[in-house]
Amino acid sequence: MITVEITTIMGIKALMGGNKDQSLTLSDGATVAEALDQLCKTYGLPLHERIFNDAQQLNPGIVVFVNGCVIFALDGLETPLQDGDAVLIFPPVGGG
Amino acid sequence: MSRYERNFPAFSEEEFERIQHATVCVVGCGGLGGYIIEMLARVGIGALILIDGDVFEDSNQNRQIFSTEKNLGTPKAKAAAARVKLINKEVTTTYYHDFLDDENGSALIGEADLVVDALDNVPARLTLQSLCKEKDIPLIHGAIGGWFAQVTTVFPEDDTLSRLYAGEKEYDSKALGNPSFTPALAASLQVSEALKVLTGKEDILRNKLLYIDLLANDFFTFNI
Repeated sequence: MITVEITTIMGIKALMGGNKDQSLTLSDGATVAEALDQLCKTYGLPLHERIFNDAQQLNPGIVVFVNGCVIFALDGLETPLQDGDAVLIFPPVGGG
Repeated sequence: MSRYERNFPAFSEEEFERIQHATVCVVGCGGLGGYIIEMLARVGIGALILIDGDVFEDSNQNRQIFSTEKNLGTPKAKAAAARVKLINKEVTTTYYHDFLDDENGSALIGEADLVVDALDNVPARLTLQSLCKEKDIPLIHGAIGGWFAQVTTVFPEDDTLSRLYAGEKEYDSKALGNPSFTPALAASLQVSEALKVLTGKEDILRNKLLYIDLLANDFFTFNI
């Protein structure tokens, strides 16, 4: 088993019980998608609908970083996680 | 000059000389841009290039510092330039009542030493990043939404905004609201960052995003 640290902010935090940081235990070789799925199982449909679209891809307005690197520069949702990885679920703002 | 005496010792004489000889291009003269332009003019920046194709409208008045009840319909860039002239005649100011795009961008930005992103939408920000890359100019990014704000510094070698907005096609800049206090805060951070880059200070937000959640009073920096 591996343990990763999940951090989220802004509106996503409210959908995860108000928790900014939490540890998540996953099976060895788990991916970002599996980590997000587990969070959605824990926190339910509102979180799932905020993160994923109907095609199970990330919704526009959601960016996920692993150890400071955006997953689009890695293997996307299939990026494998290692024990101790820091996962940030981030909704950037764009107004001015 | 006594008008600048309170700039010291926050800046050394040498650092302030750099500021006085610097040209900064501010793209967007609305919520973020108004405060940014005001602060840069007061601190004594050498020259400002101001770009915005919009005019002031009623819904701008809750936050855009250069909007008044009397200048509705006035081009924002023109109003900004007039304000700079009132604040500090030493600042050489050029303004363009035009939206920056791929075709006109390089000419409008001109010979700026640094560009500040005070735009309100993602596609224009990505265009601006590309232009700054082409022209080898650092870019100070800021954005807000509701109670939240973000600031980062993008050097020409970087692609920070492309990573940050990966997957974004259209961003609804009104979705979270645009209250008065959030752009003022983000603008302050952008000006601080701009002056640090111009004066060569070390601890800048390059490859880092400063994210602010005012609801939780949380200032959060992460590597990107």
